[in-house]
Amino acid sequence: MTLKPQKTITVSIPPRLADTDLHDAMVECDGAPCQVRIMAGSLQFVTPLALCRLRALVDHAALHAQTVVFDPPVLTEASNYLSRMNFYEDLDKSVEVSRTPPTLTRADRRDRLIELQRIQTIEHVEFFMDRAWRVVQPHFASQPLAKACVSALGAATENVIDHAQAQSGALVAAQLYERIGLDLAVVDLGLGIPATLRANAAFSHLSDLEALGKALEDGVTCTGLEGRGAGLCELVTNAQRAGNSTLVIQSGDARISLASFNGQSQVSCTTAAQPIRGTWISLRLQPSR
Amino acid sequence: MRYDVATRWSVFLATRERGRRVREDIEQELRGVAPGGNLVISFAGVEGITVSFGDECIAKLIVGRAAGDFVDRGLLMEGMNEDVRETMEAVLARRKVSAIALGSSGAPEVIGETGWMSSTLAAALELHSFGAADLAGRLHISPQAANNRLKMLVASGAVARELVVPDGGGKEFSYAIVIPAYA
Repeated sequence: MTLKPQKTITVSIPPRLADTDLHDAMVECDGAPCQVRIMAGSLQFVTPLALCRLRALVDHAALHAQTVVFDPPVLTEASNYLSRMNFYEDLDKSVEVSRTPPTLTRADRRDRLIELQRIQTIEHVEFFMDRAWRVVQPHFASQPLAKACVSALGAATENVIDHAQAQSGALVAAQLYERIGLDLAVVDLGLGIPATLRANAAFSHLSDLEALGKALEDGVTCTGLEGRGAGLCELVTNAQRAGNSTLVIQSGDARISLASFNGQSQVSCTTAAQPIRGTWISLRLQPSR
Repeated sequence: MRYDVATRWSVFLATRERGRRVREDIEQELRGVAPGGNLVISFAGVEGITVSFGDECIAKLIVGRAAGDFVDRGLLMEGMNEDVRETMEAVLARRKVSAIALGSSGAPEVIGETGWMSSTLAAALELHSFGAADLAGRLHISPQAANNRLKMLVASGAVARELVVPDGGGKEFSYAIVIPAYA
């Protein structure tokens, strides 16, 4: 009998998490290693998007490896932020955290934070919309604009339920900053928007970037059914309506950034060197006043 | 009868799956409504809905009525805040159908695909109970045009349709307003 060598993968997380770091790590995890060590000791700067991506990596590793060791950030601020945003909650039992996360005195920040949440059911989407409503409502000049913001967030997350087929659902987190406004992220490791749209023969020839751009148009759907294909268009229009915003959608190797400032819109479409898994959405929104 | 969405479900409503479940529950309620009666769907307390939810729930109910489902009873909406109403308008317009929203006074308003629907509803409210020829005469349009308008008016939920057999034989439809304050 021959025993396969036990494979350990070490993933070094840089001070600022980049897309390529995650892509390479996830591809390596697919090879069913014995152990994955995620070394986040150097991590210094954590946004809601970085938080969701990092946790997605840990969850993905836990799906494939026998054990996962997570080494938390050394920097106190980064380490505290992960704890405050519930990064360590509900980790798979195969995940071992190499140092005890800090225990925090938790102030009530319901008006500023949406801690890391997993979206797997309809109820999760609706609960998330309710939480987002409580965060954004006091900061908008009018209720309709605040509602437009929440509708955008609902549209961003419901796609995960309706289309993504992501094994672990999606991860969402948000924070309201004084200077930049609302910073929100939705990350799933599902099929991705281009692959989903290409299931419709009419769009099967499209590149990732073309498919993502097409999917943002009203009425474009993988199902071909009447009345469908509104979700992503709703996300874009409501984000622009709610205030000055930057919406970034990444899926496959496509990245589309839609910025709207004082009624002027700017779209940037790029193809990344490395594709990402699933769909990552980041929204920065300065509420209209 | 009144169907309170916020009490039965949630103050935020999203996803097609939720829309399907709510629609099936409303259809169940509609089965308990007597012919000539109505069901008022109350969105009071609902803070927001997504397009996907609205399409799967309300637009499909209206499309179902256009295909002949529950056409002998009324279906109306009330209590929508500005955001819910705006989303509902968009959802219905995308499907090129209309629905009826009741204001706080109970007055009906056409939402969605409007066009000639508002004038047709106004004529139907004056006639109250009528045949296609009555509507054609009131609006000075052809019987064929009246039938086309009545199909959309019935689908909107404002009017119930009943099959009647006239004295001379054959069959035709009679129509009656089923809006609570006007029925």
